[in-house]
Amino acid sequence: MIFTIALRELRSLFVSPIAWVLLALMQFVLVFFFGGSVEMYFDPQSQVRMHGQDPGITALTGPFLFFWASLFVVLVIPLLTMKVFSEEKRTGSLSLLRSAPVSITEIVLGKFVGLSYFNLILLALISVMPLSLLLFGKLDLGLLAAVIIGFFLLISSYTALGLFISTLTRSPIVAAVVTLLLLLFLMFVDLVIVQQNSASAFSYISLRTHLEQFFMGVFSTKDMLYFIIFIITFLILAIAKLDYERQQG
Amino acid sequence: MNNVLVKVEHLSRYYGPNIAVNTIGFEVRRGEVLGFLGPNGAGKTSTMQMITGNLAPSAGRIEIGGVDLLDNPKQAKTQIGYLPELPPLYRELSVDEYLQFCARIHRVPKTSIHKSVAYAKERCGLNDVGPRLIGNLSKGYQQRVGIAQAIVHLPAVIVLDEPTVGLDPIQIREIRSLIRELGKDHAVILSTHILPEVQMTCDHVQIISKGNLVYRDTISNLNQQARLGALTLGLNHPPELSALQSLPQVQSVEPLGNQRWKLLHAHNANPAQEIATIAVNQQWGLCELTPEYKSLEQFFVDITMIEPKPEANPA
Repeated sequence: MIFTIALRELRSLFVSPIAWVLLALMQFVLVFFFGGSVEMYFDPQSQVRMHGQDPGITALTGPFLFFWASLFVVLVIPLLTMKVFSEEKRTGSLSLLRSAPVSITEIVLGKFVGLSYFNLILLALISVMPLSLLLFGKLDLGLLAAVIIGFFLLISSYTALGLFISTLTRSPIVAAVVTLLLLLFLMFVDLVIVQQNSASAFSYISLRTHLEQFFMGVFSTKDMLYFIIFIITFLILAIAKLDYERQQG
Repeated sequence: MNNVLVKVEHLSRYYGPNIAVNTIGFEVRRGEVLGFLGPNGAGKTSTMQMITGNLAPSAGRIEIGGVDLLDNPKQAKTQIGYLPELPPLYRELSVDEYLQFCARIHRVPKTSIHKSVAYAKERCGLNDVGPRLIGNLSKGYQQRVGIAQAIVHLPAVIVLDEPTVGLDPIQIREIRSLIRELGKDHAVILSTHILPEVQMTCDHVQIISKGNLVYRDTISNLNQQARLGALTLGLNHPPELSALQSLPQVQSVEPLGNQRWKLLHAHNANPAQEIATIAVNQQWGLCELTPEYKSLEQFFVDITMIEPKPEANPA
């Protein structure tokens, strides 16, 4: 059931131009960052070289590329998640799922898996860039794997949040804007409110700080748990909201 | 096995302090088409949403094909097909893709999905539009896709919320005949606020007003009650007015112009047959003889007025 709903969701994304346009734009912009980072590696004048270290090409390109990607997806994910429930509420198609023999949990999970399929495609397209270097030399695949896993957890968290926001409104635009603002807040709280003593709490909330370990090649279970709890929380909130609607009408 | 497919008991629904549906109960059997009548906002849609599991009741029980909807929602829902007021369509999918998706989420076995979709398309006259996008279809076709969606998994119970709203007269006729056909082997619940629609398509009728079930009967009894005690008569070779006035049981005659008359008769009599015989024998060129029915409004007002004292029978 979950996968039936997921495939339908993915299909609806790809029959509209939005998925194609977003993927293309994303790839177009990121390829410059990637190219820049490769160039940096070969530049004898570059900062890292002058300090006498040689971090290697994987450490130079991978985290750099995915760091910029993690900022761009803040713009991309809200545009993907905005319609998921709000559009179905607006057009009434949600009642098809509600009257079908599927539970609300299955509906929410189906939608989440469908969006995760898309996220995997996005992830694959970005990963192809650093992986293409394998044609010319060796890469630190362990580091790259940690970066990719961290990035996937991050965009899954964005997706879960966007999915929940989409259950709150009938207007996709409102859902997109609210999701975008919340994501910006969650990414950068620690930078904005850095002076206070409570900085540690804010940096704990911040999604970005949980990414740092992964980007240094550490597969941090603590940070992984943070992302997983984040995802599960918002999925449960989405389920609760839809169930509340059935109760309250 | 008895054939009661829908059994509703003491069903209530509150929206905050407002009561939308007040302890109603009814049954629908296989082969019945139940017309669910009422003005807008009377609680029709709320009731249908509850029967189909879209809305949780505040109190009461709903059984679909002997399965409790609230205890066993998944099992009960496999037996329901629901067309809400707004057809729940994915406009970006083609008709075929959409119906296949509907069949899958209604747990139609993989091997028979193709057959089910073909059956639903055949039944709803969608054979020519299979590969077309739903968003590009006309409103009438979209409505048919909505009905196809409700029957694709061959549910025992089909619930249709105002299925003919916004359609042109030809489409309305097609959909009505489709509903009558579906009523042969399913139980159909149909909501509307158009009385003639119920008279044409249903065999049972119930009326809901402000959340209360105020009337439930068969359609033939409804027709008796809704009759106004008047006939419209059209004649190509009319006789003198006095001849019409002396027709059996006719109390008075009002000319409507254009060789048509309105004949008023006693409320509980039906002189149509006698009048027809006389008109033919006298060669008046009978071209129209129609009993007049109340509009839903009138009928509805009458029912709610009579309701407190059902024994009283004013002739």
